[in-house]
Amino acid sequence: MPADVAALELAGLRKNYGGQTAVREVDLRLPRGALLTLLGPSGCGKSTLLRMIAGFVEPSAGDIRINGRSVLSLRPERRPTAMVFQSYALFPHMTVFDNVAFGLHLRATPRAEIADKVRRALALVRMDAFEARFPSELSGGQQQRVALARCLVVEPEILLLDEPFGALDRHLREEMQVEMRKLQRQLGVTMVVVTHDQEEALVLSDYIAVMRAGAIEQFAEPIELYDRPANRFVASFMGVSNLVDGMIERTGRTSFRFPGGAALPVDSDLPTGPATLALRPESLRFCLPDDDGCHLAGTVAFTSLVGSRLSCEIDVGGAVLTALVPRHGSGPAIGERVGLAIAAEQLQLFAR
Amino acid sequence: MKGGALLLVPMAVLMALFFGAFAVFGFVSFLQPASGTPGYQGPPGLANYVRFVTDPAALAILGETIVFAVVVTLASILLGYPLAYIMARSPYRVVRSLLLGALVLTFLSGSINRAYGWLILLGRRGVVNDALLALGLVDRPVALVYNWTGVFIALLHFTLPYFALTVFGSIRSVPMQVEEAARDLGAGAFTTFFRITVPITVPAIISGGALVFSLAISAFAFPLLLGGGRVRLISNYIYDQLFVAFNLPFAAASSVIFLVVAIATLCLFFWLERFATRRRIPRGGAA
Repeated sequence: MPADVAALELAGLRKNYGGQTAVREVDLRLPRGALLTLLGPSGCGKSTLLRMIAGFVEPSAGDIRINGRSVLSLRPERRPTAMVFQSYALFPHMTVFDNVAFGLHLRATPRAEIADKVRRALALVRMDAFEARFPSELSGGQQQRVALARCLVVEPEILLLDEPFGALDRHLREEMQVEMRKLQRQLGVTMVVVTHDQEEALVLSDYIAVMRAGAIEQFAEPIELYDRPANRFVASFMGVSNLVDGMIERTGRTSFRFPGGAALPVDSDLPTGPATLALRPESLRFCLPDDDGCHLAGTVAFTSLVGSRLSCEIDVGGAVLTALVPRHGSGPAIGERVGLAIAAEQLQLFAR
Repeated sequence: MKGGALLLVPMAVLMALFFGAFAVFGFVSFLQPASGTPGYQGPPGLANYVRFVTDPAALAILGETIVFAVVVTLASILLGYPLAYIMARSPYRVVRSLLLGALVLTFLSGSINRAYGWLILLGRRGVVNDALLALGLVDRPVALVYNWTGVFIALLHFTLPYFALTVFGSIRSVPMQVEEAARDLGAGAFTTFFRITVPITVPAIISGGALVFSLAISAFAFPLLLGGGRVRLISNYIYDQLFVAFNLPFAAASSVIFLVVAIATLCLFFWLERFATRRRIPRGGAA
């Protein structure tokens, strides 16, 4: 198989339910061995997209190719995919061993080989000591590992995971995310994960597709997505909490005019007119209001402690910016007048 | 405490009356009929029981009743499960509503009404025979009533809703994702049905089966009306002992034997259910 054939290719994929469009014109190519996260708020069509790849939802238009081969005509049981369901969907009447062996029995694998493969898959997810248990005798995290082993054992060309960590508590979730990523790297299996959690997407992914209203807003590597969100929606979804609507002005040099009148010199090709400024709380820094390096001034409206850092809301006139700054002593007092310096390369502007 | 105990008295009286009646009936089974009268007399003994278990005709009726009830139960499972599955899993609400409506309607119409309904449908000049003759499938009317066939059809129609509605809920409670997971791992629709859905709902199949079996083994009206005197189940036999032979003690003994056999069979059902679900219910101490 030529190396440039995508493990997964979606071409003009679309799904309508009656008059409603659940997924519109999705185009995407995923290299072999990569982990793609479909990220978006609930109802954005990410689960429908995943179910179309698995074969449970028939697309209204477009094509799905796995390793260069169209799978549209294949029923779910014939597709080279395996899915870890949000509820894990283990078979309640079978032991852990039989759950994992199920797919192998259907493939007419010799009995001795089945036992061998099942034990290896269970060892991979550290569940080898539980093979005689029934699903009702396992915790949520253990059930998830079994669901994963059940899919891995049939060696799918694409492994699909629907909100795999949604039902786990925070601590276990973080542990499982790292473990899943390591396992994925070790096995080199191509994976598509659906999630609404941007932090989870950053931890797991080689590529992230941010979805809204059935369409992909941005398809990029995590670092690029984090640093260069393509638009206001992606920026806000990726945790850029400072979004200010203002104007781009060009009087000699380009600047961004805050609604309250303050002007910030910027470097942008956008045309003059309405624009949105996007800025992460971490890229704001305090300075003395009258210093040269200071871009803005404002008064402290609210402060709260976030571990070793302090989150401060600064009223700059017409807009409130949140700054996440290292904590020195007790930090600025509410009502105190402070200057703000902004690293030019860390701000982004979107046309409105 | 005293007031609480006092409140139990009405219930105790009620229970004493109900079970007392049974106990008296049970006691009568050890007595002898008073010759020439419908009454009974002492001394107590096991004669009636000995008579029943040494009478080939009585034993044959008991045996036939059990076999017939088992056949009706199996037929209810074979017919009722697919019916319940279609109701539970049909993507069309109309299908579900129509089937459920038909079942509930069956539930609400009385046994006697239905028995006469079947007579009209299955009789020599009934709708079914007319249709068969018109289609040229048979040369002369098929005997569909006044034999085992008629009783079987009517009884199956009577028990089907009980079974279908029992398993319907159980099938609906199997998450779609579990069936999808099986499909996803390579199982076709049939394999998924037989290896996932059916085994998961085995407890409901057994409960529904037990219900149908109890209804079938105690059937009285259908064999009486549609059996044409040729089909006699244990209930009809007991009835005859009471109101034809006027042998109250022997009727009582037959009833006790029937009750013991029925309860034993039901215990077997419940033991089966426990066996089938022995590991599925989360137990204390499980992680």
